[in-house]
Amino acid sequence: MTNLTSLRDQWLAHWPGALTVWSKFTRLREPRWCFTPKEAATEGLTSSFAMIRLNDHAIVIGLHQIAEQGLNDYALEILAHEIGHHVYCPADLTDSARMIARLRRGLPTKEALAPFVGNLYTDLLINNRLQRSAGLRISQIYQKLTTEAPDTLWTFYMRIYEVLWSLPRGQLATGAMDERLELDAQLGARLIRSYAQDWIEGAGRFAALCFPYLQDNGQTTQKILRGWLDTPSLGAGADDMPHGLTEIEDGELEGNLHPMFDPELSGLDSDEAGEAEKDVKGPASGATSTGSGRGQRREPFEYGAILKSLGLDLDNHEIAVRYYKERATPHLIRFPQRRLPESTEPLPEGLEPWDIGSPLEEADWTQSVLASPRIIPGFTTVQRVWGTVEGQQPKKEPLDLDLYVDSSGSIPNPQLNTSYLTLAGAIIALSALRVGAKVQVTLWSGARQFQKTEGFVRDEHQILKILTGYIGGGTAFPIHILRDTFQKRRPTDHPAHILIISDDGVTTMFENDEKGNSGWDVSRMALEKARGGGTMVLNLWRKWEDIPDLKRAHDEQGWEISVVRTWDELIEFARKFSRLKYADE
Amino acid sequence: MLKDEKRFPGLSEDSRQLLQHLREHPRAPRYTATCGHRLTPAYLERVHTYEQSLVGQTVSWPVGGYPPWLPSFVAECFREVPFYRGYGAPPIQFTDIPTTDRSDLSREIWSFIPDSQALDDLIVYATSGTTGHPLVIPSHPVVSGCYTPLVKAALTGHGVTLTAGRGQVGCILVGYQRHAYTYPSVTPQQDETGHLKLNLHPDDWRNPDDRAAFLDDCAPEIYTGDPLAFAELMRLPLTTRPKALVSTAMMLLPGLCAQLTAHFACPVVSLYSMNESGPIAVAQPQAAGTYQFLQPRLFVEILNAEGRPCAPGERGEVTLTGGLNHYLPLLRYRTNDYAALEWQGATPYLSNLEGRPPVLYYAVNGQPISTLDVTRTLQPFALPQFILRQRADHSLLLTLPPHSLDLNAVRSALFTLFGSAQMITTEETQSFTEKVIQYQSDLHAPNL
Amino acid sequence: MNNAPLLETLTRRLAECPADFLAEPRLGKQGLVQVDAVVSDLMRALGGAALTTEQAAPFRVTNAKQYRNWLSVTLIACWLFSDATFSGGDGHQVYQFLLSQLRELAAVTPAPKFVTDPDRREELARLGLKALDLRPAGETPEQAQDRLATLNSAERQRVIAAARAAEERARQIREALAKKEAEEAADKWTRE
Repeated sequence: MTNLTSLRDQWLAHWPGALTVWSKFTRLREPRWCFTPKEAATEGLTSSFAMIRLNDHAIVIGLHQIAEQGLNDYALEILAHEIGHHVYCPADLTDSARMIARLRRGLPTKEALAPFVGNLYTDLLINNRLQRSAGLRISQIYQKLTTEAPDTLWTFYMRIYEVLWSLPRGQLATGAMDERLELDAQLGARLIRSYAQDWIEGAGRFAALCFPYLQDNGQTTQKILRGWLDTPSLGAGADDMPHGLTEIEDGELEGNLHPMFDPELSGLDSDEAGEAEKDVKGPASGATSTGSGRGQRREPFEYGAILKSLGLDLDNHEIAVRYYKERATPHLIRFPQRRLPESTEPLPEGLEPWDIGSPLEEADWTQSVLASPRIIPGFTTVQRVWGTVEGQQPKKEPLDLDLYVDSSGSIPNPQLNTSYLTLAGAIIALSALRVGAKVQVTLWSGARQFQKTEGFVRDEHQILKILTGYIGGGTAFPIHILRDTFQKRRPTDHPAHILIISDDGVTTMFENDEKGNSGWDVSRMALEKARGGGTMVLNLWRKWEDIPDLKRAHDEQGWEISVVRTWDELIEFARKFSRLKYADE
Repeated sequence: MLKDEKRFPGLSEDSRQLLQHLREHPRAPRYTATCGHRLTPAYLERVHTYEQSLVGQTVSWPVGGYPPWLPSFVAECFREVPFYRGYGAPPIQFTDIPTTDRSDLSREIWSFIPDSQALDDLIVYATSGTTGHPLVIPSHPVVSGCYTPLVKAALTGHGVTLTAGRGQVGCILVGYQRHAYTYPSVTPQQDETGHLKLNLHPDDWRNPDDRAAFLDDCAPEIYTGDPLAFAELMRLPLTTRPKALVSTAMMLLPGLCAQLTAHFACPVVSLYSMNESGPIAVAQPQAAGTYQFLQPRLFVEILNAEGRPCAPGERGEVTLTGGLNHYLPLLRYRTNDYAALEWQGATPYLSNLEGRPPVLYYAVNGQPISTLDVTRTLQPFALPQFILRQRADHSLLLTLPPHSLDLNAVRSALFTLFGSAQMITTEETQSFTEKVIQYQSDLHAPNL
Repeated sequence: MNNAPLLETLTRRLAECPADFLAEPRLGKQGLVQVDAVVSDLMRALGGAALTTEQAAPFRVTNAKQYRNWLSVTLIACWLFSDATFSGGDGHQVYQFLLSQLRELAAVTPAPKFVTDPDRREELARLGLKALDLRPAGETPEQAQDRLATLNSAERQRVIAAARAAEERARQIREALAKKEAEEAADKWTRE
């Protein structure tokens, strides 16, 4: 029975040496030693005897399992291996994410296996460096691990090591081998050597190479490797997100070339192979018209899948928040502001807030309506109420933003697929926050189906969370929220811009509310009291001018209407919105 | 993104107007998708040729024998299809050829496509699955187009002939789910008559009353759909009546069948069909539980638990060879459906067919929830297997494999589907039977 | 002759092949290096006689397309064989090697690879040793044979050629299945 304390001391003694295997300057905290299964579980170590965590650069060693597997003498090898994951590959969360993205491309329908294949890949890279350059005895560890009957994946994986290290056939790879497996192992060995520096680029090819051996989803190999699958959830506990993940990088799409088609790896040169080589251009030809990933974006569900592969414990909604924030941020625009009037006196006496219960004729602003049928928000009313003359250096103050986002059944779930409407909302909302505005967001679907922020807030996360939510029920615009938001709004309050994101379901805003008021009246009142204008961003498949209610809303009430279905239309809308000028700006 | 020209090649002016009318009808539902027939003139020709080939044909092979096209079909499979090539040399006896099943398809569907088949206009149908990847069946617009002549052949046996053409609505496919793809289309192989795929769930419509109004305005010649959708259809105050109802996807129980027949005063035709093969057989009007085969190039065996052919009348697993889909030539494909074969002369019939029993769940507010909605809701969690059972007290029991992550998220997802007050218990089990997903209910759906 | 030659000596030698041995071989009126002369020098260095006219003939070919690569590889092999490891070796065996096995090698791999690619260097070094009935120090005959088999580029090309067609087709199908247009499917009258 091994004394685990003395085992720990023994292993600790090898720690400096293990660091030096990589470089004199490697600095990492000493491993966390676990003596019991319970301690291991607390650290997140389940069946493996070692693991790493990227967020706190930790290495966790399960001493009890080391002893169980008879690996006591391999302190230098195992410690150096774990260090390799921190200093070589994957090293950090962003590179892990980039590797996972590329692995996924090589594993169509089996993308969930990307972390597992990634572990095999990084192990190969690290072990090859350790065995060849540092002369460590990694092969002996694998000999000890091979206890169960191997499947083709294990045989293939072990054969790669045999080829890499010129080991006698059968020393590690004991299973049956056919011509194809031999070929694939040779290609694998060449791949590991060729892509030792550029390992992220090689990931897609490695995945394509492994793919045919994943029939049983790697179950057998995972069992054999049970002790040494050390990168299960790299991102556990991470606060930081990998950056740039929404974009599909150059080389990612074509990276999943099977090595047999890669002249570098197959040895088949274009001069020599002639016809065969010329016909095969790799996956970039044909299907994906753009050869490179430049400008292409991942869908939210794929973005989320990669993050989850890293062990980042986020649900789809949280992932969507980060996704749309990352995609919106490069496209923020100018958000309308107004110049602060000199006077900030309270309302002159005699003016009462207009109450929806009162007859329309008594409303103060009716006169403006009669005077000019087209209300220019902010202009007519402000003049009437304030009558001030602008000073020399007026300060600017942003408008508030009141955002209504349709989440009825006809609107696709933004958490799964890219929604340009949601992206439009994110761009406008973040642009508003950037200049110090307050934002209210209401996500709406059927009657009484809605989620909203606690009024006008500055909390970016709260705002984006509502914006990227999903209800998927019936369609009934929450007229009562529009009404209640603006009914008691005073002229001294900030002007607000009303932005409605929807499809043809937006016309429900002109129906009657729960008190029987006409939606048209509420809409008119809201625009009036908001004094910042109103915009509709709609996912429509015909011209909005052909929909009578929309035409009326535009002509009579001044609603600006934009149709956004594609990326180009989104950019056009953002540009148009940025030219929106507040009346006396 | 597909353009309309590719979705509807050769669209006539009449049909363009019909499509526009259906899309912009004031009482139309909020369509959630766009989909067309994608039949170019060449493809359309193939559908017509197929329809011709059905005329006057009875599907037949002798007891213990094989149809004449079978040997060359088998030879072609062994030559052209990577998966079957993997068997080695073709055995002398047909019954010595190994069988395949759904798990083979889900593991490596690409190896079932014959080498010689061009991949132009390959389309996919995704069937329900538990992981992020449902089983994907490669198919082709011609294959989908050939469903029409097969449905017509099925109806002929019930004395129904279809006459609707362009400008009219020939067929409406109805479903009843929380989420479904719905769209208007036209069917060129039937003189471009209108065809719509609709969802009767009220949330899909601006006003629930729109459903009856819109359907009456369309006045389709036939409705197709599953029994759950038909049960809902029956509840709508329709004034028009179709010439027939064609029921698919799950077992149509006699009780509901009788109700539908009485209510709609037309034949209610049960069609046995699957994605892998296309429509297989149609229920006989006279003999209950008996099905007549529809496809001349589909050979059916009944195999026992040991994989040996059963005697006539002996019940076993329905196993298919041939089929409609040239991207998926079936060779002894076990369907997991059970029936027996009976002969009248040289014509075999399917008898005692037990298809998939209809299971309907109920939300907290009483609204019905289809198994399709459950699968869809649980799909993001990539559960390899599960059993969802609703007990008599309406509580749900979800059985999962051990170490399933994200239990809270799974429960949350079920809450959004069933209602936040839904009682849900989860349990783990080490052993599941063969079936990947099981839907169970102790509740008796009133109308089914 | 060294009976326990170190493989690394030979592979390093190949990696450091001088420019002279990488120059264009003479074919008809083109090229710089008269390959038959280099081979002849090698024969003499190994203790044998210079090439006769007849023996030199195969190296004086003119068809560039057919022979250029082989002649280039021959030059590199001559560089290899002039290592001390091979001194006193049988010139006949070397000569046969140049005409037969080296031709096979040159048919599948461009000459420069035998200098730049570690696997190809090792393959050529091992084949050279084998031609003179030698094997690397510390290896049993079985080990040496197995290692050579693993590096056999001709064999690998054959297997790749056979595998490529199937792999390419599988990839095309997977791609076709994943296309967005495929997902939209086509309209049909009933659903399963």
